[in-house]
Amino acid sequence: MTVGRKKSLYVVVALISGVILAVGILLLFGKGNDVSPEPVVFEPKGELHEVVILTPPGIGTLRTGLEDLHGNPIGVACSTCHADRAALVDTPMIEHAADLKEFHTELKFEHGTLTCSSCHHPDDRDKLRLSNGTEVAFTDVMTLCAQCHGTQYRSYENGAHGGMTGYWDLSRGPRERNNCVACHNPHAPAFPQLQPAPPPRDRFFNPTH
Amino acid sequence: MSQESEEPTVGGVTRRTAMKALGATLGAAAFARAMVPLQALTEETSVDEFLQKHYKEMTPEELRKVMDRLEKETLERYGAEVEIFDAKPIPGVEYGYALNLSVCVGCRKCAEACHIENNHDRKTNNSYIRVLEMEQGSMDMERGNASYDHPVPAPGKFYMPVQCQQCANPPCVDVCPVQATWKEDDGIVVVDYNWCIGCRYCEAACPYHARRFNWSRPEIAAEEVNPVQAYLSNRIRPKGVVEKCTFCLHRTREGKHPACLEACPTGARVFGNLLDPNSEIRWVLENKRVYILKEELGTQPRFFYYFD
Repeated sequence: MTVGRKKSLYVVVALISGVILAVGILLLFGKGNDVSPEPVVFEPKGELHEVVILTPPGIGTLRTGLEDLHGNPIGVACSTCHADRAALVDTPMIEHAADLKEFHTELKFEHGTLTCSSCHHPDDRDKLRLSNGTEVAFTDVMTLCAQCHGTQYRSYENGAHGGMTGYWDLSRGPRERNNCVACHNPHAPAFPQLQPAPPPRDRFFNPTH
Repeated sequence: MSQESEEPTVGGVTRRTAMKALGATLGAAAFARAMVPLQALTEETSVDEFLQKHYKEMTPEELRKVMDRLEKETLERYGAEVEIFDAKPIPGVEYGYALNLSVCVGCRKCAEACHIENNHDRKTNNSYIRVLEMEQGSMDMERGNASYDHPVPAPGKFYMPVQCQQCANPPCVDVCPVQATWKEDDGIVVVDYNWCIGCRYCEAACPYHARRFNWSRPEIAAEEVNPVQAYLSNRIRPKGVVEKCTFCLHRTREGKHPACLEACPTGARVFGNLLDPNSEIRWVLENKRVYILKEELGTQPRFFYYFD
């Protein structure tokens, strides 16, 4: 009698737990139909257009203040003087802007404790030089800047530093980006103070009205 | 009996006739007064515009007709030949905008570019962007000054440009009594300027002071009108309606950057598709310390500020 009762109890418990399990499994796997569809993922169509990094015209030359027919500045290659004039070639490179007495005297220098040869190649004035001695063309100046300004360069590489124009969606059109020296004067790189565009003439936030 | 039915007259006119005449006169006067607003229709609103349907209820052909009419009106009123088109959201795109407060210098070039791009009223120098000059150490935008006019950046200050935050939960949309403003699939909150009744509830509801009201018909010289116009964005707004930043949808829905980003000389602005994991905006959100304005209000802006 007690054995029979126990047996039927086991059967009932097994049945109930079976039902709970089944419901649980249904809830777990059967839910797929109710869940909202996968979020739409943006897929750019076709090939991506180019991202062009603009190099300022006349980079790596001494500006004469004149312009050519296209409005580009006319510059003189550094080697025009530094390769041919014996006196200039033989003299060791001046290292501080304050010591420039005869040439480049208009140069304003506010870039930490750098010296001229920190960036300019002492043996080839038409080139720049990395800290490890590697020659770099003036057009690749960003590699040189990136040696110290790594965080800015990382942001730049990810599109979060430096002005740009063109398309956010490169599948529809190209983009043009600024080179470091398009905005920053390498000899005095801090962004200068400037007069802002005129304020709005509306009534809000405007204590004068 | 027959004597009672005879009505008393004064000079041959019964009281009944006199009352009828009085009633008719008052009724006619009231009707004429009620119809007065119709006279104004021809001045600011044409009959076609009065009968125009809501943007969402128009068929593409009806909308094209409306845009043709608006092009004609722009030519008549401003002397400018413009092309108005209907820019639709791009599937799989939700826009996000980020602004780096560490590099913004407060030059207002963004506000100026907005002014030109979006055909704003020249006399108020209106713009969808207000650049707030803020005390360093303060984060309260209500205490920002938008009317500074001295060389920037001034010592001890930082600059926070504020425009429509394109909220995912926009209070301005909730309060509109006529549904003239709504959120589109790409997250941009737009206005049907021809459906707006100018009650300005939305302007009051916006915690970012992002909406503007056209107190008068915008003044722009013909040669300064930007001829590339979308129905929902930069077409010249009529008098008495509310307008707002649309992330330049006439540009961005064509894949271009907004005008304010292109104008920024410091590169403080980052724009892109929040749904594209490889976009620049996603990199900023994942790698920079980002915050949103007035987070406690639960508006869920799509405009992010960050420092680095």
